Amino acid sequence: MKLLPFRRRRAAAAVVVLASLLLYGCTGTDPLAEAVNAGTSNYVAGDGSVTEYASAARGGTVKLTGKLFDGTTVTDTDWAGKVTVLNVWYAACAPCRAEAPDLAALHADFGPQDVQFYGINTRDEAPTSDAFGRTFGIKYPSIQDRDGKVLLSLTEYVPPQAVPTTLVLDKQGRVAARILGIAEKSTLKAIITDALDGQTPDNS
Amino acid sequence: MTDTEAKTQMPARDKVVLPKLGPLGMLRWAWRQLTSMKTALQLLLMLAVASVPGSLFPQRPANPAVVTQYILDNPATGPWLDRLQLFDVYSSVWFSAIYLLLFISLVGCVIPRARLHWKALRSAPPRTPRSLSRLPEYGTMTVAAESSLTVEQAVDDAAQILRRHGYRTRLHAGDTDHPSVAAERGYLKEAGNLVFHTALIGVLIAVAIGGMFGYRAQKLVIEEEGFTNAELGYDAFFPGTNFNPDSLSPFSITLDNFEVRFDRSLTNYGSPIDFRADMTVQNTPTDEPRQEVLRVNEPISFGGTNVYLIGNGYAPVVTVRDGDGNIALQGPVASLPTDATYNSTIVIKAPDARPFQLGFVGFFLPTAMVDEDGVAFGSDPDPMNPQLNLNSYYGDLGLDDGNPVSVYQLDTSGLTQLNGRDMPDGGIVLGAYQTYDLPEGKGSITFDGLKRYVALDVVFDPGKIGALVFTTLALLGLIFTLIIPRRRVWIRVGKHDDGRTMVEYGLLARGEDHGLSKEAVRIGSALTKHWKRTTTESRQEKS
Amino acid sequence: MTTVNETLGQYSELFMLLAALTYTVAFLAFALDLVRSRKMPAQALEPARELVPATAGADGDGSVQWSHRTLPQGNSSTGGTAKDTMGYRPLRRTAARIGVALGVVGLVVHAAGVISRGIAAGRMPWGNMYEFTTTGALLVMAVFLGALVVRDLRFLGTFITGLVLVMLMAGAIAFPTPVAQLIPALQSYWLIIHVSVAVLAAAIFTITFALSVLQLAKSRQEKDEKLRLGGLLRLVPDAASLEQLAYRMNAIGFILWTFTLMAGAIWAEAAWGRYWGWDTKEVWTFVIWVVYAGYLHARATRGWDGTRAAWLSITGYLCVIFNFVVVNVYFSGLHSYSGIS
Repeated sequence: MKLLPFRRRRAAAAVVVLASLLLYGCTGTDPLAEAVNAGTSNYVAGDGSVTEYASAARGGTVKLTGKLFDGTTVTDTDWAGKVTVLNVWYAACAPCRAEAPDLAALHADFGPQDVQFYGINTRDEAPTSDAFGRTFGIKYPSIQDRDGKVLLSLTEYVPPQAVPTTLVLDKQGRVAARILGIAEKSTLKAIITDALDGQTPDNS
Repeated sequence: MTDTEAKTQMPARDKVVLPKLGPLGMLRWAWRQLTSMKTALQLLLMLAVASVPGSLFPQRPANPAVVTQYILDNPATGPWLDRLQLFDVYSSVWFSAIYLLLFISLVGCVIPRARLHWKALRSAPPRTPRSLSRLPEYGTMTVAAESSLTVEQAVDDAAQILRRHGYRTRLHAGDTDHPSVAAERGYLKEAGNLVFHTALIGVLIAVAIGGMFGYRAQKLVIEEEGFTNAELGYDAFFPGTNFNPDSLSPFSITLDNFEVRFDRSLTNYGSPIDFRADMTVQNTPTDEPRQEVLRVNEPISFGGTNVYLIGNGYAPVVTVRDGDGNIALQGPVASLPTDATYNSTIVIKAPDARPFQLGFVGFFLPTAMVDEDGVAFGSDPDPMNPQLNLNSYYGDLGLDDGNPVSVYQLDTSGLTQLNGRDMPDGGIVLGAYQTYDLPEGKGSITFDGLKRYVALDVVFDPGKIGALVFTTLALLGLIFTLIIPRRRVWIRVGKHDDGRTMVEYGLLARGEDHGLSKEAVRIGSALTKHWKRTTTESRQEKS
Repeated sequence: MTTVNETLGQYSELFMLLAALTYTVAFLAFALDLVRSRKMPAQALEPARELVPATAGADGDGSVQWSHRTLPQGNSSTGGTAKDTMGYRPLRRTAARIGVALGVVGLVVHAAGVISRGIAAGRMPWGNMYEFTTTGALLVMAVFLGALVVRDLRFLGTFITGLVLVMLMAGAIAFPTPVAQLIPALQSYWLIIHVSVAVLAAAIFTITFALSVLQLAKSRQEKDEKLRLGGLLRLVPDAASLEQLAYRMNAIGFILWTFTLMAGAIWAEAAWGRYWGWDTKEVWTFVIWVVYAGYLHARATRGWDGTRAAWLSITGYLCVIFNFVVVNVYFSGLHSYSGIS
């Protein structure tokens, strides 16, 4: 409260009298304020759980269309026949920042082997995304998805349940694995290698 | 169950002499205790008392932060209240125990009564008691001999008149000189009672289903942004205990425009009168997008999932440049209103600023004014003179180790303050389109524009319809059981030696019945009128 | 959206004031009636008539003779009927008649006040504490005067007019709110349904509260002959009759309250996405519901009828008052629409 730039008296009176009219009189228990005070993040974090799909159990070829931050349109045909890694992220998301260096490194390793990497950014605008790229040396492009359209397409194949979510698509463009939360480097590496080899993990 | 029957069926058990009971006997005894009317009543009153603390202490499900603060403010009593589950009354052990016992007691009462009522429905009204004069309503009639009314005819007439009054009748004729008719009406009273109590169990089950298979999610959407109904699309997600993530229906919503109108009359200046969110929605990825308007009280529905307008606020658009001159952050940042004039708190984080991360914390005022002490305050909810008042920090925002941090709070433990209202250089004051250069060449911040946002709740409650159906049933049952009287009538007929026909009748109410006297008079009049007419007719025939 | 008509709003306040003045005189008339009743002849206070009409005896042609009797019941809850002790008696009570007449006049003026308030705001006049109170007072008065058509409840006149006066004064002094449009949260037709039924139920509970209080006093007096209470209770019927009437009205009140609870839940679902959330107001509405449910059960439980049931009825009403005044004004919750600032 010590930072209050407007008059405290006013603020105090307002808080007492209008506690229930917070945010405009719709509601007293303001979900946002709750989120703040409870110290929660404003995103659904994952627990790092990994789901791999056996070849036979995989769904259809992922079809989606999105726009990269530089304005280029990207569709699933752009990665046809290649192993693809899709990573849902945004700049202020702490776990996304934690896994970013590993993703950059894996991209450096697998990029030459024709593995495609795309980010799917759900919240940021281009300059913010670029700043994130500079920080972590990310060289692969990201799809801007502030209206959730790309996510909507993805829900047809696999529910993306947390930020970050990382999906690995096999050469047929089917979801081979899903990681909810921070992608552990060696795990992700193993999954990509399997997908490149066309191998199917025995667990499904 | 409000019925005298309950009382007679369940006599007072205060004087129960405890004989040697085996374990089974003990169980039976406990069951009978539990299902007694007195216990049910005591449980009801306990339920009323037990509900009260939930309104006196802050409750965790509604307001976890206030509870945390309460415990901090009351270090002596707080933890004890917490141990007694007084911050989560409605899922506490003791509250649950009371209502579960109450419902068990209710089941124990409803089942035998339903069985009895089923039997009563299928059987004829009970035999005529020997002495009708003991009944609360009693009367006699004498029909003159000249009417030549036979006892059989009289009983038939009586039965017919009773049936016309809605009674179910049974003749006890032939076996004696005094044939009689037994009648009963108002079976719906008991049926209503049973429906009411059974429906309450239904409501409880519906609520449980909603809690198990439903979910509730929250999302803040800034104008021209949107989200998809997927867990990762949300700011917060509260699944039911048996919720299946694959059951999220794949709709998406974009907020095109949000409009607020405020009262501009002198008496209520500044109070809101309309919130209107224009949305583009899509039911599934392949459906055509369509336009919808979302308002308070008017949710948008996607099958069983509803989207509600819960709140709104301002999201100032800012650009933060770092010490290297690069843009570290650009875009709208949601601020949280603290009062009705939308004076809001705001936290801006630029984790990709280099060489140091930058953080800002302060206030957004839609219409900033300066009071006589030179302190800024907001005077209107509309953005007539939008202003950002910020303190700035540099260092480590604490985002890079992967631990979730609230976007609405700035953890200053790894940060050094650059400037602020409490520092000699003062804080940042930014009007629209203004830029402020941070001290020590650490970067700058620009106030580029303003957007509004809405706070949405997305709710899927599969128990909702069931709850509605059962409460409606409960209400109907209640109306029936409280309004419909249940009555029995007996009419007995005999022949006097002198040829007069003697009639006696008695009425008995089952349960509360305040119109029994009137009913007795009604039936008495009907009988009198009928026999008067037949007498007249028979006279005319004779003459 | 319509705009607010402030001139009409001022007229509304004038009507309220006039109504209050009329009620004040009615109150005095009823009070005078109570005082005078101490000197009324005893037969004036006897039950007026038997229910069985004159036709019951032998009539014209004497072809059918009929006689009927009702067994006097000590306790009404045993399922019997009591004598109709609340019928009108032949004795003229001029003061009471004046009270009733003024009550009707007051009601008309009061209704004009409430309606003009509604027209001024372009909506139903129950959007804040002032409006709840004035509309509630109107309904209390209307239910009371309506009940007078079938029952002689004029002995309640002092209490009811007094209470309505207090409500009008509370509205004007404690919760004054200028005419205004509704905030978005209240813009729903459920406001009309939910609030009107709640206020009507509360009005009925108000009258049963009075009946239950009198029932307690009367049953005290019936047990202790020496207790005269200044003869002020002479007009009041016996405890059993009071209990019976209170039960019937409470039963209707309970149905309405159940509906209030339901309609509120449906509205909450439309506004907040959950039909029940243990908000303070919801908690107290539930408590009231349970207390009156307890009352109805108590009437069918040995050892709980009579005085104890009356106490439950009184407790229920105190909860209604608490829910209305304390919860609205001092507790912040989703239902904080008091309009007091």
